[in-house]
Amino acid sequence: MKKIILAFMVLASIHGVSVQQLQAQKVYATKTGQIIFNATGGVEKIAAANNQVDSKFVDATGQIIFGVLVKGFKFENQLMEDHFNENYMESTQFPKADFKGYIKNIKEVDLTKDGSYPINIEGVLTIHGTGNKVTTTGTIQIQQGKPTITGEFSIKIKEYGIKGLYIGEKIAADAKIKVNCKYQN
Amino acid sequence: MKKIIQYALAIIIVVAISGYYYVFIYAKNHHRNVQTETAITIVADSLSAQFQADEKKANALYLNKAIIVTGTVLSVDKNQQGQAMIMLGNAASFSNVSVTMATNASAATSSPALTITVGKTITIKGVCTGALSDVVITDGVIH
Repeated sequence: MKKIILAFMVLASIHGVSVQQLQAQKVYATKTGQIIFNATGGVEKIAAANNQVDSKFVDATGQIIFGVLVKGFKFENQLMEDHFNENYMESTQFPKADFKGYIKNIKEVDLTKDGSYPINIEGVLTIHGTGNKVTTTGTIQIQQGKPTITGEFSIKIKEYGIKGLYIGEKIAADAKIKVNCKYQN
Repeated sequence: MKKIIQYALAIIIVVAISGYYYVFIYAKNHHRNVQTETAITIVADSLSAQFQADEKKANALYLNKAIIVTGTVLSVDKNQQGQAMIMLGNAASFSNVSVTMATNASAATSSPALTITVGKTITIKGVCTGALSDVVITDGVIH
């Protein structure tokens, strides 16, 4: 009987801790983040912006996700936008791209205190249906309690199974991805 | 023989000029105008419900298509670039329809969109770019 009571007490305390952790963690989210993609390889600018980035991160664990719709990337040149969707990204077949990972040093960020904090992010970036591990750095800027994450990294286009003419020529072999997400709390 | 060469040269010049015009002038200045396209008319709740039920099927029906969507305004906001954003749907739903309004002043400046009040039922025409946590519509104009 004593053992049953002891087991019950242990379970209750574990449950109590996990409930407390759940209650303590906060999810920051945005549906209006921005990602700029730049693959300029020659004279002509090949860049597009998407202003409907869906992103969330959890303060307690540092878990972070970004989701983006490929057809939401707007180019200055309509023809370029059409080629990007049809010939390279095949966005009808692969309409989404996402990143799922962790802010590895979230414990070093004081989300209650205004300031700028360097962050290390690690996760899997999936574009064109192909996922690859990405490790990069960025910054969390806290202003009036609201965090903004910014960062920039490069990807090798061909590693994502993207084929098509001009990669490595007019289109850079490495595309730059710039992230700027202002979260609500 | 001379005439054939002259004709051939003329054709080559016309093709080259047309190609240059299309690639470097027309495509740069001409953007898709969804407002002139025939659109699918749908209610916001039904659109988000279809994406929730079967995203692949919904993508086949609506992705990159002109949509005229009617729904209750849940929120009116601005994105990081200052474009008006209107959420249509049902407050109790897990997923709704998020519309980013067009930025060209003649079609829909941000100001009229931002005067729309929450709770009102409105109709917007735009392009469906798919679904994340909500169905996303871009280039929206009040219909």
